[in-house]
Amino acid sequence: MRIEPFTYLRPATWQEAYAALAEHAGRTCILAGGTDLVPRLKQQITRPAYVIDMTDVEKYSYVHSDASGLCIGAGTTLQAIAASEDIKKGAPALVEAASKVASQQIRNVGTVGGNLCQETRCWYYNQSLSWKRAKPPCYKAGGEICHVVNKPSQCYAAFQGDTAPALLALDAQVRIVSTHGVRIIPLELLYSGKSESPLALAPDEMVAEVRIPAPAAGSGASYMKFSHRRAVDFPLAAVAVWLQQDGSNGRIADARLALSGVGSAPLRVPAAEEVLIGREMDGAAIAEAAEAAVKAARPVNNLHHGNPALRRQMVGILSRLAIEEAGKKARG
Amino acid sequence: MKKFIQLMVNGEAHEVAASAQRTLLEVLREDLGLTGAKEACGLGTCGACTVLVNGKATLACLMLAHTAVGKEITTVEGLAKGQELHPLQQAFLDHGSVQCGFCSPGMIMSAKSLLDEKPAATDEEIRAALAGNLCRCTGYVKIVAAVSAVAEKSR
Repeated sequence: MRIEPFTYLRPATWQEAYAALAEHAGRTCILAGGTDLVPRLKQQITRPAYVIDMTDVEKYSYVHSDASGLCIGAGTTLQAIAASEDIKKGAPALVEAASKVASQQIRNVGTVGGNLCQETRCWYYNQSLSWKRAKPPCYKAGGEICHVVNKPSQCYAAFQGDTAPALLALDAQVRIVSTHGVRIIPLELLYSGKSESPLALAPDEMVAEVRIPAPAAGSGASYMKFSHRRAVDFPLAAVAVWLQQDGSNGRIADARLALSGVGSAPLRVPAAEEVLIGREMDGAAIAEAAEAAVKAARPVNNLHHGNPALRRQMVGILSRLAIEEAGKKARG
Repeated sequence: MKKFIQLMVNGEAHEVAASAQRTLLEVLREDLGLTGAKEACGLGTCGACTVLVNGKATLACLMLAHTAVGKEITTVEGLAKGQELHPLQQAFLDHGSVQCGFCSPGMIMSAKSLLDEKPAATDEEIRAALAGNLCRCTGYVKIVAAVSAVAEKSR
């Protein structure tokens, strides 16, 4: 596998980094841990003219905790997150999710920013360029038709990140930077919903930080992942749930449920959340919420051993398990 | 465009000419003759290329050689002290953990990364640390037993 030539930039500061991004916008890739980008470079799926290596940039990797919550630099490795005492206290579901990504080697360099911004995946798209030359390019690669679903003008590649659903359930925000300023948005708005270009970022913008509000009293969260192997695999289906229990009457005061692996983006499921809010946490409520989650899942047959019916079923099972686990943690 | 870069490998400085497109794995194997780290999948899913970067298990096939500048790299060739094998290497021999040997350097480096941080690691922690290293020959039992035997000395 041969990486095509590019110009390698290694900025020393944040200013240099986003200035370079602005100068070469649209023809550049950010290199953080490289565990998502480098495979695509090797398969010649992604062929940037410039690569900006963030390895020297200070204040890219950090965990700050204060009364309002956590601020985590986008360059913080998944291993640093998994081992962080502050995050174990302030957002344990993120520790759960980060610990389940891939393998120890990948977590040692892979970053939370990269995990959130990862490219969508499909058994057809994630093959080498030479392999794909047997057919005209698929829709995601600039052609006209998806070769997996065999329909034109839409890409069905799946978002398979682990940390995104946990962070959605935790009501996280991301801080996006560029030469013309900073914007802080709910994590949900980072995603375009379009598999062919999954991020709602201008070409000169990059994610700099993830922010998680301080945990509310009586709340708990859980991240459940389904994949065939216990490691290395991306989630074929994943559910994250956050619940807040009302101490006085035992009912669910507030709830958030998010999915991954079963659509073009990680997604919140308001229908499932509305089932739970105000209810007692009994079998009926949990089953109804799980069913709402299943209805929101849109898996297609584009992942290795990723039978869509199985993945839908697993969304239901994982939703139930995640709600029960989040409830346990909320009750302390 | 090739550029001269300096890499610190197994405690020695090496100057190599490498374009930005070359990976650390290629440079280790082809320029420095350190063929312990292996290319199997080349995409980050098998662990055969595992080396230590600043002490942590890292996939050399996914790290650009230029990114490795300024970091301490340790390969399996850097473990033995002269003729004296590292305890992990000796344990792999003693426990029959090596069949074809292709996964072994990666396995040993992942294990070393774990034991350097947690000398008394449990079997569960060992399996978790090695989960990113695939073996097609042994069925893993003897590999875990070897690492466990080394950890046992600290438990």
